[in-house]
Amino acid sequence: MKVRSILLAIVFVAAGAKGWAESHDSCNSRGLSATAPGTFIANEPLAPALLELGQISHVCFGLRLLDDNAFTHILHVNMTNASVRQILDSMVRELPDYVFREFPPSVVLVGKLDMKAPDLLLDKVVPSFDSPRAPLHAVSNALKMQIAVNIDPTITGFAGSYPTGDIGDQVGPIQENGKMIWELLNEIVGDSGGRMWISSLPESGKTYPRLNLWKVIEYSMPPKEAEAAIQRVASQFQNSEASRH
Amino acid sequence: MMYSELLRVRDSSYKKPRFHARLVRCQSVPRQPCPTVPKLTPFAVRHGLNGVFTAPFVKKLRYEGEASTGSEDFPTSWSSQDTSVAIAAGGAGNIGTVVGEGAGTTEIIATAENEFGTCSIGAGADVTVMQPHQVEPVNTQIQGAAVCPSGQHGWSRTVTNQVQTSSGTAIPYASMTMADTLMAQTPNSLGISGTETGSTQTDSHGDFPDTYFVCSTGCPGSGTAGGTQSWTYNGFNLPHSNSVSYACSAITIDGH
Repeated sequence: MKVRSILLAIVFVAAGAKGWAESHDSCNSRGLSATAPGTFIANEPLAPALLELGQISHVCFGLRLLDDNAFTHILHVNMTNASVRQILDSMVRELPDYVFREFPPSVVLVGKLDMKAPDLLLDKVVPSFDSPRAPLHAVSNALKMQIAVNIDPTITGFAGSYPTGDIGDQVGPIQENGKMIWELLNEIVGDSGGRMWISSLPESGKTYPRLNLWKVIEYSMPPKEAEAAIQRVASQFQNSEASRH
Repeated sequence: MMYSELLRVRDSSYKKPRFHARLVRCQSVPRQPCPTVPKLTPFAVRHGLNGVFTAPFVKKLRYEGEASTGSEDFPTSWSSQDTSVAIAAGGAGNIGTVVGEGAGTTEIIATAENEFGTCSIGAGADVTVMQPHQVEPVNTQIQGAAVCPSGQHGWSRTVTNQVQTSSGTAIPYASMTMADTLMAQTPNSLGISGTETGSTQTDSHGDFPDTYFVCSTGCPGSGTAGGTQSWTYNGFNLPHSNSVSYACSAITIDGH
């Protein structure tokens, strides 16, 4: 039953997202004031529900300072012609300590944002980050490498592969000094054609998973692929949580 | 109380009952013919086992109106002629579930039952099981200078990768989850120690885009680095690994 409702919601959302994508090419600048057209129904955890809300409203999200509830606690939302703020209010009401805030440029952060802890990974300051205008995933990958080098200056090289995404969705150029990682992620995603970034591990962890701090998910992804991407983050997150206990 | 016991109660001289055999012929009921069913359309299922057929892939298949005719709904069971290739794992009505066990072709037979018995209606379909063996690039979408951290330069190449059988035939299925890992190999004069890999899903051609990259303090320069890229398909290892060669202005995959 749950699977069916998720599939229905995804089909609905995919149709809505397509309509938006035809006429927009960046995050919705109205942010929390944006309206989710029609009826927004979600019977699923926060992370996939926000992906669907992002797809239908084209508001860009950043998800950080999460716990297991973001992937396991089933939310029940059924609202018609509601604003993104109203929908988020409804969602976080069911999740203790979860709040949301809008940051420039038009990215809404969701998570346990008031959690105070020293040395949170995504609060680390990046002394300098430069990138030419390039596909979003290339810039995101470059930021991961820059952070890895900052943490371990003995690294002399990287190689590998990453999912290409939409190579037409370009961001930058970026030239920033002294910004925190989450601020840079907001800047990258806020400049894109519609995405959300999601922290892929508990941020207060003692271990640093090189090149694997976050995942960027495009709203234009096929529904199955987007759902699978969320699932991968969920399992990675839960594995990290389990390894801490 | 059993009938034989009743006899004993009524007749204490009971010794041995006498039986008179008599041929009983049931009233004739017109037997309905088995449905006539045409041969099903051949189909293919995927198989994702690293040459060891222990964890089958399941694909549900719908045979529309094949095992039943008219408005009747015959309970149907399915069986396989060669279970080393595929097994019919059950199903309901005219929906059969086939499990791909190994590369090859066999026939799936439907057996329908009407209200008077079983009809071996012989509705079969040739099923071909395709086993993913390798991932190979089939074209280059774009390549050029990579976006690297400060102090490093390198190369980036975006290709269309394709899931193939051992003979190089594309396996044209969407939503296969492909994930890779990269092991740095010698030579490694570019000093690569950090690797990045990920996972994605195929389109209906069995294709997916993938971006290979290298960044190094040794670039620009003439150094090279090697890597072995291993793949999984829906969590199962593929037998073939790619040999990837990285240089400051070129990346090749299995020599391509």
